[in-house]
Amino acid sequence: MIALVVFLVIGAAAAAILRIPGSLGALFLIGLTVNGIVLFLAGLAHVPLVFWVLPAASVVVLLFRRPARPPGQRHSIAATIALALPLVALIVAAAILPIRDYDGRVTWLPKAQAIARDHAIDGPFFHGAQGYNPHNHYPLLMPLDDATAIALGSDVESVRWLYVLMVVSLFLVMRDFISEWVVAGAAWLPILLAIDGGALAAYNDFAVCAFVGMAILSPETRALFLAALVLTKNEGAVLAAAIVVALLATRRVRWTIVVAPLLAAAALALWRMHIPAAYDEQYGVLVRDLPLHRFPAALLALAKHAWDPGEWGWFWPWTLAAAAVALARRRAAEIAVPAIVIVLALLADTLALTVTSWRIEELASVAANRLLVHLLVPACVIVACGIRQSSRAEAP
Amino acid sequence: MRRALPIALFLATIVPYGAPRYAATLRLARDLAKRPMEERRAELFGGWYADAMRLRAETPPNASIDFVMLTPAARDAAILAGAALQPRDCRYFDGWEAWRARRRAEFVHDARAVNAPPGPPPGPADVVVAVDAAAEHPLSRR
Repeated sequence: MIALVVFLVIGAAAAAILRIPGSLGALFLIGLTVNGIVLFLAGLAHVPLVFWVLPAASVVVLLFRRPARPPGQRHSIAATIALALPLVALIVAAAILPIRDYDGRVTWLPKAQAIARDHAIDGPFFHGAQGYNPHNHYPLLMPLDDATAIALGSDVESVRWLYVLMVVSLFLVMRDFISEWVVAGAAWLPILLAIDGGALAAYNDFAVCAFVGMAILSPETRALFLAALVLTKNEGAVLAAAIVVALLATRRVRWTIVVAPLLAAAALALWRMHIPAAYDEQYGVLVRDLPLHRFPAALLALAKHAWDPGEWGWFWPWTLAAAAVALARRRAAEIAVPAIVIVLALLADTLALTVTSWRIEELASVAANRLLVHLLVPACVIVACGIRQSSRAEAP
Repeated sequence: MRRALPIALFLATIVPYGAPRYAATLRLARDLAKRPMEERRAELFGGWYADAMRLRAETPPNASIDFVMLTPAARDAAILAGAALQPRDCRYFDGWEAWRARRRAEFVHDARAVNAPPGPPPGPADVVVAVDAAAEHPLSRR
């Protein structure tokens, strides 16, 4: 509950200041990004992190200014029920089940606990003095939000609400832009209940998915979510770059769109200069040794997981077929942005599988579905276009 | 009809795959609902969790703990337990020989791909724990 109220209040205040109309779902996601970014910048400036200050300041802002309401959207009752059933099931499950994904508990939650305890993003934990901190250089936007929930809530388990409400918010936002039936169908995807990388996990893949979705669907908040992507996961920077390239290539935006993600990348680089690396990927070494002969096997491994009905139903074959239909109907312009984002991201993901010395199938079995989760929203835009449902996403 | 058919097909190729997993998750949640969160964690996480919570109660937050992993399979239990014991300074060793030599375990699958962990060989710890994933109680204090 605290998670819902705190991040909604922060999101509402930010939307009021920036004069952005926002539904409840959008305000929650804006709240997550604004809180994470503000705390990261404060931590970078060595200001002790006091987690109640931003929510309190947001309440004051809301006393004087309210965010504009978005234009009302009508949704069919049947589609609303089809969407509500899985979302309510997710909330019920989150209310009872603890966070149980391995990387959530080993990698991400310890960062959040350390930040909540030390009120800093460069405390002893990040210098190896409090145990094992795998991937010391990972971006901290979500651990900062988690730390806020821990500091203002009861215990570390309170962060699970952030993750499930983020997914619920994303689906509510999506149906304002994409066919409500396509969104309802996507909410039933088995992958949402995967222990690692699903909607109840603290692995942050649905955070990346949500921020990609907002950066593509919502022009008013695009810069904010592009910056948030860079500060959420390493893959987020690649996705932010893919979105920027897609938007620039299709002439949907001006070049100034690069400013926010570049500033975020600079802030992240500055923080990393003062933090020792620990089990962090050496991308320079990996790319220099690029074993190109592994590329086809890596691509095949990704495709194999996309074609796994046990995790995805027939979602990805539908995406491919919908893209073909859109092209045949000369509607390429409508799917250009999501299609470019998916192609560039899959290219990067395939390279990531190619460059390590892991057995590709072994690495793909733990990574491929999570990487595909990042592309859920652009794929939904393509499916909606292919089956001739209205999509507002293509008119930013 | 032309509009409804593809939507119906789309749902028919997704929902039957997702619904059983939703049902299974809700059944699991129902079975655990009456227990306190601590017991739900113990049930879902496995034997290491109760052991880690006992260690947590027995050691102050500033304690240092050496985890001596007796088999490769013990790594997951040791790392998960260490995360649950935060902020205690947990160190990890592959077997007693490495522990005696104060040689930290390397958690790398691809040494070329990642940086090494920070810090020199650690000094003596306040608590030493042997980790055996096959044991009923995977963490045993020595």
